[in-house]
Amino acid sequence: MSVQVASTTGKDPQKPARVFNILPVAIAWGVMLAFYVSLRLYQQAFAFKFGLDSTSPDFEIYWKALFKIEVPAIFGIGAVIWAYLWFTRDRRINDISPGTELKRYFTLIGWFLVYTFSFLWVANFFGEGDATWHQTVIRDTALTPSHIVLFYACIPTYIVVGVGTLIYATTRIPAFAKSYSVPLLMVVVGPGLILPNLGYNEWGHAFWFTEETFSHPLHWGFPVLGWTALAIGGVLLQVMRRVSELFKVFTPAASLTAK
Amino acid sequence: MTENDREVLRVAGLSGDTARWSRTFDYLIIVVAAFLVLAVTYINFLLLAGDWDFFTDFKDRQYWVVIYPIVQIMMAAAFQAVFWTLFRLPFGATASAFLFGLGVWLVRYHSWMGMAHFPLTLVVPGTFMVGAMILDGILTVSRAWLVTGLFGGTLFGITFYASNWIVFAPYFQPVENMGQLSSLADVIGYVFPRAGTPEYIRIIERGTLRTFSDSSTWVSVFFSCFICIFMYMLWWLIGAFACKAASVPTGDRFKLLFGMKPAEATK
Repeated sequence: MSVQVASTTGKDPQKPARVFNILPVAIAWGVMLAFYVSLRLYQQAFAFKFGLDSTSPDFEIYWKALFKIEVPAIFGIGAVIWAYLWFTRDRRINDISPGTELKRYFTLIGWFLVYTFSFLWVANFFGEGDATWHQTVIRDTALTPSHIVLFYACIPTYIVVGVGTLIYATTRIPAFAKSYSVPLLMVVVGPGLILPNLGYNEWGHAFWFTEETFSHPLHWGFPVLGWTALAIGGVLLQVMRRVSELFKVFTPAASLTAK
Repeated sequence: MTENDREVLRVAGLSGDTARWSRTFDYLIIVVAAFLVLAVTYINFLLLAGDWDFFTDFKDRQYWVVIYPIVQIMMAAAFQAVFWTLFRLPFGATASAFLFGLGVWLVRYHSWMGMAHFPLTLVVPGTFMVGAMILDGILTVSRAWLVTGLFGGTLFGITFYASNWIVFAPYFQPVENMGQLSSLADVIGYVFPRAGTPEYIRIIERGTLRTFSDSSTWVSVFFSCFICIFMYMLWWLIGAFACKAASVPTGDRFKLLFGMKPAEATK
């Protein structure tokens, strides 16, 4: 899916340019899908085979090793992405043309496509997968095979994308550089706080064996922080208002009067 | 392009190019919205009501009937508010129910059956599709969230158990098991024990509700209706609040990082 821009204003370059390129989004989706499917297959192969006893040598090899690799790897990749976005920021953000601004809004929606896709795997697929594990197996560690995938692979992944979305918006789009968007901050920071909320979760489970009750108050922090994603409605409103104005810039007056 | 198309574009204030970009933008937003609706509906349900829906033998007449609709109407109302406030689209609740249905079947198949090897008959999910469609229907006709909350919330609670009965009635048939009266769902549960859900902590049918001369289901249903009305109103307001496009001006030093002069940035 790509759309060609035929510029109608003097500020834009005359040569046609794409408003939106789906390819980077498709690549990100593909990489994530491959990553998540690989983790699921890894669980299928080794979760019940080597993941039931956290004191066994096999657990150390198959599960703790995965944990030790994935956390620095994901946050390392995230740090590179965040640094790239920051150091390549637009230092003349007020001077960008309407065409460039429009393209950046479309790219921001592309970031949201990747962000919501990555959040989906936590909220839905691996989230209830964790319930499957805990309703079946009594935990003897915080680093269960389901947690190592859900909490320490999937959540860091969407944090990387979410923070990347925030940095992209702030460093490329004038409206987000001039003002902090409260709904955008909520959409990124709220779900991101699920990771530190794990501290409360694991601390509580050290006292109470409550996994059999997934809706125990100990777990309520997760949905409450998930609710903050509703604020994407506010972000979309901010985006749509400006995009509508930009569309008008590219609409010749003649096309509005001709009948 | 027909004369009719040109007139539509003229009224919309768009040229052919911008109309095409606008349509592309719509498609992208639809995908973002679909992912988001599924994710938020699911995480809300999973950790507030999931236990009563994981297993067929947990779908009792006391808690499941009350808790499931109360929790699901939260996001149904919130997404109705988002879709109606931003786009005047009356299908937020139905979208929530439909996408939830897709997600829940995916997980029940892949995780419960695929990884833990429970039979699907033990983990059949409930649905709130009928109640969601009624909510959207009432919003479409009334165009008023208060009316939708009052009548839609009531019907959402009432229709939940009835609309799920078709699926679950076979599992609630009485059978004799080792001289005891059980339901078929219970027997399936006995065959597939869950180490994390010992029998003594099952949160089903506590108290004396069952002594209400065979009316326990109706008592639960009407209690659910009552709470659904207020839950709908609360979550409509939260959904509408989520659509506020508030922003806080950044500081002068922050603006300088992007080459903006403080005075210029306030333009």
